[in-house]
Amino acid sequence: MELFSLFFSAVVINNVVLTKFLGMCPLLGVSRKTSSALGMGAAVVFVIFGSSVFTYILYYNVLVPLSLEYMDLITFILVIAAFVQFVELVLKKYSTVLYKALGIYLPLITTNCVVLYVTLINITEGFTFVEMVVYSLATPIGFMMVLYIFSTIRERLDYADVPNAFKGNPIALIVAAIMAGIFTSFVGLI
Amino acid sequence: MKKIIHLTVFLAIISALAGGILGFVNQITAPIIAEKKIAAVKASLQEIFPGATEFAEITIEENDVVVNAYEATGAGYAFNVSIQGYKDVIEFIIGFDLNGKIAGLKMNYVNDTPGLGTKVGEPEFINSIVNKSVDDKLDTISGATISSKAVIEGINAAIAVFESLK
Amino acid sequence: MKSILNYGLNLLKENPVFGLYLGICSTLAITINLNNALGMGVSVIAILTVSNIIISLIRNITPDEIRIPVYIVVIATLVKAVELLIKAYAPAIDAALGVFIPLIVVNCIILGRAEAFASKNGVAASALDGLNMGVAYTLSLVAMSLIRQILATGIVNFTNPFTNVEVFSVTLIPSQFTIPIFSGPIGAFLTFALLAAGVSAIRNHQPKLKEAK
Repeated sequence: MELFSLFFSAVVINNVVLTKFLGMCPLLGVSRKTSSALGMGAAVVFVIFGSSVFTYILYYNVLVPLSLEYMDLITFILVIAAFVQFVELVLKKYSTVLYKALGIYLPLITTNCVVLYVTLINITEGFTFVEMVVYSLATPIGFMMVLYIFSTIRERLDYADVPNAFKGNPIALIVAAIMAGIFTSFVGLI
Repeated sequence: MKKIIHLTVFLAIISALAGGILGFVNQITAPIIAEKKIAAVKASLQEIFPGATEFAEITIEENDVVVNAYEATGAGYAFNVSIQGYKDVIEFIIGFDLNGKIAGLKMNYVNDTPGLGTKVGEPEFINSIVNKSVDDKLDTISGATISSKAVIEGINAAIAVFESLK
Repeated sequence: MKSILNYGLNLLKENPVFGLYLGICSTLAITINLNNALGMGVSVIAILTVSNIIISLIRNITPDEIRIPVYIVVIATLVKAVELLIKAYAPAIDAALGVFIPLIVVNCIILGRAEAFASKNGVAASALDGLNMGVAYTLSLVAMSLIRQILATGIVNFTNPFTNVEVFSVTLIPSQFTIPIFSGPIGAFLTFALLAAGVSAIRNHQPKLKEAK
């Protein structure tokens, strides 16, 4: 039950995009088409889950025993960068279909702040291994959900008559404001 | 092959330098950070137990709600509690004197609905709790039921730990 | 006088936040009040300037293939050092900004300037570029935070983060007329959208300048 509420809260109530404002760059960059939003979302779920497990194990089995906790930031960001590269290589070699679908989004993920955020929160919140797994699946799923909803709205916005100055990103941010308003009403569900 | 070795060595040297620099900064800042952390708690403990002079952190069994425990020598025990409120955690320090009376309650973090949940941080609620005995029933606030219930639940968890220490 | 005006105009047009949409995450998240904005801004100025200097210094010995990982290590080291210093000397900033300090690592402005400017230019020019970009970033944060803080609480105040002593506090709007949602996510997105639209309107107004570039 507690794991479910952790999951639900990370997906909806404390949605990373709408309450923590993380991952805004991909949100504005690749949310113009639903297909690319889903592709990016799937790639982010995969990378966050993988790098969370890696960094979690690395932190508690290498950095803590050596009392090198202050190296966490460098280690984490390098693990994320290396993991992204690795996934890209593997996909390229073994699955052309997946590579075609996710390949172009992978390099963008290294600088996606959600990835670093989740790996850091896993440690600062003192999650157990199971909680870490749940949290690092739920957060990117929440990201993917918002990205998808957002892209469906933006596909329609392309046909809307928007004042010149608001064309492009400003109107998208207004949409984000309204979505954030809707999501705040989930507060208190748990 | 030579190229790869060159690249690896270069990255290793940069990382080693980075580690060295951070180790140095860490050495300077670590004692100050630790000191600041205790100082923040110490001020709260001093408020709860004005007569006590010596405070020490004591180890307790792992607990989801009661995060840290402190002993004020000759005066009582205090517990750092963190519990889920309405939309965020509520964090407070509660102190019990040796007779089992609530000596003080200090809210450290309340982020619930302004005007409703935040009532648990106001003097009215805190005064209704301080000086009660651990056996008394504590009342919730109407309009902030979930937040005040959470605080009372946290206090009860702290009481359980307190009883186990006596 | 004219150069100051030009600088201001450039700041608007080439603004890293509202013009190029870099480093938005932290801009939206921490601009609840002036204190946070200045704390974040000064940290970014320091990190950006020093990282630009270091990357410019090592630009000739850095192998091209691994330059991005090298830049990331340099930036992460600086950010962690700043985080430790803030924790030690200004815990109030740490309490307010929390995880957003380590997240400076992935603030696109810093890696962006390293790649686009410091890796190709001399030390002095890179330092100046870092300072310039950092100041532009800080001013954007301050603008956002002033709007949001004034609308949400009606008060502008500044507290010295090292001593926790309030330096000044001015009440501009009586409390019954404030709009609290501006301190939350809705207000963040809305303020940002309006400021970005404003910058875009100024840009559209000078099509000639754009073409000349």
